Amino acid sequence: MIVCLLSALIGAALLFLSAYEENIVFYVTPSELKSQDYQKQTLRIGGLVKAESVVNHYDRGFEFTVTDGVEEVEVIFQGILPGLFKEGQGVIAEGTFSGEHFVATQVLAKHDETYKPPRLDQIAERKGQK
Amino acid sequence: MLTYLAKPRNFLKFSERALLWSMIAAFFIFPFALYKALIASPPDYQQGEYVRLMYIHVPAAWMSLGVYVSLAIASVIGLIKGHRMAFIYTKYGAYAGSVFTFICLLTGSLWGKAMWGAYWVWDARLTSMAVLFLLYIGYISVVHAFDAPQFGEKAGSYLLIAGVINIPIIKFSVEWWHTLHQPASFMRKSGSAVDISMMIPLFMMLCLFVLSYTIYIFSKLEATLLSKKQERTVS
Repeated sequence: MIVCLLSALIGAALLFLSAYEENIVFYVTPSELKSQDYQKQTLRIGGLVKAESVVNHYDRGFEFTVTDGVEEVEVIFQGILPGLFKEGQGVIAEGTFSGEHFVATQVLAKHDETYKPPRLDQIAERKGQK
Repeated sequence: MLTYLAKPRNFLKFSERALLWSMIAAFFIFPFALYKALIASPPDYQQGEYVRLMYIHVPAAWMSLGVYVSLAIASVIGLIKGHRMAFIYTKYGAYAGSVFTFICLLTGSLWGKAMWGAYWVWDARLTSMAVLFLLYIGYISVVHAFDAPQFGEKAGSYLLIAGVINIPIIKFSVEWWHTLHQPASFMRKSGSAVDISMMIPLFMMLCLFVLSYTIYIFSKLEATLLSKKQERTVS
């Protein structure tokens, strides 16, 4: 009986998770974006900030490109960027498409699982800034 | 072993020794672990000094999962063998587990604001961790919801066992779905992604967390047994 109950429970959990797959996923990558129509819908796009793509328009906000190595999305954002935001770093932008551009209302920084002390040249750089 | 410890007299003998040694170990590790974690360990290459939140956040998260699994195992033993000790353990363990989960959520929230830019998001890892907190709270409420304590303990145990399904979901949420939370830094295929200079203080802090739980749970179990013994001798 216990085995039956347990397998029913696991089955229910799997069904639940697969049914809500779309809601569980926190963001979509630019590649996944191409395969579906997400126009006029609030969504989150995740990927890396493309190198040398960040442009500061000051009072008109920031413009940058989110890439997953294959596809790219142009993002416009008016607001304060998180401290970890930089080129080559993981980023998640929430907002809606307005034509070709993705207008973000919130930008979150995503970091990887690596934890290590700064390299010597980074320490020197930091001291130089002070 | 379990049948031996299920007898109150044997258990008291064992717990007295366990308590003593845990306290001695905690007394010596405490200053070293705090010094290592808060002062001696290096800042992170990306996160700077904020990385020190890891030394509380990660052990608390591991404890919340580990304690939960131990409670579920104790529930199974309690339901099958009918040892009262198992139910007393789950009752008190759940308090500690909920506190560990709360610490994990609180420090994670602060850390998230500093690094990601948000106190809370509904991604799979954060949500499944919130569900774990609700499971603990739910169990505590169920146990105390009945006039006959035996009935509450049994009902709560079924809840605890059913909730085990959440543990692998928490663990693998960062692999199965896109999440804001980064993937696991330890148990991963290419070895640990945490530098050794941060790993040592992290494991020292984990030892402290484990010891604090051991001291808490043994003193609670001992107190319960002694008060029951006293009741019996008085009546």
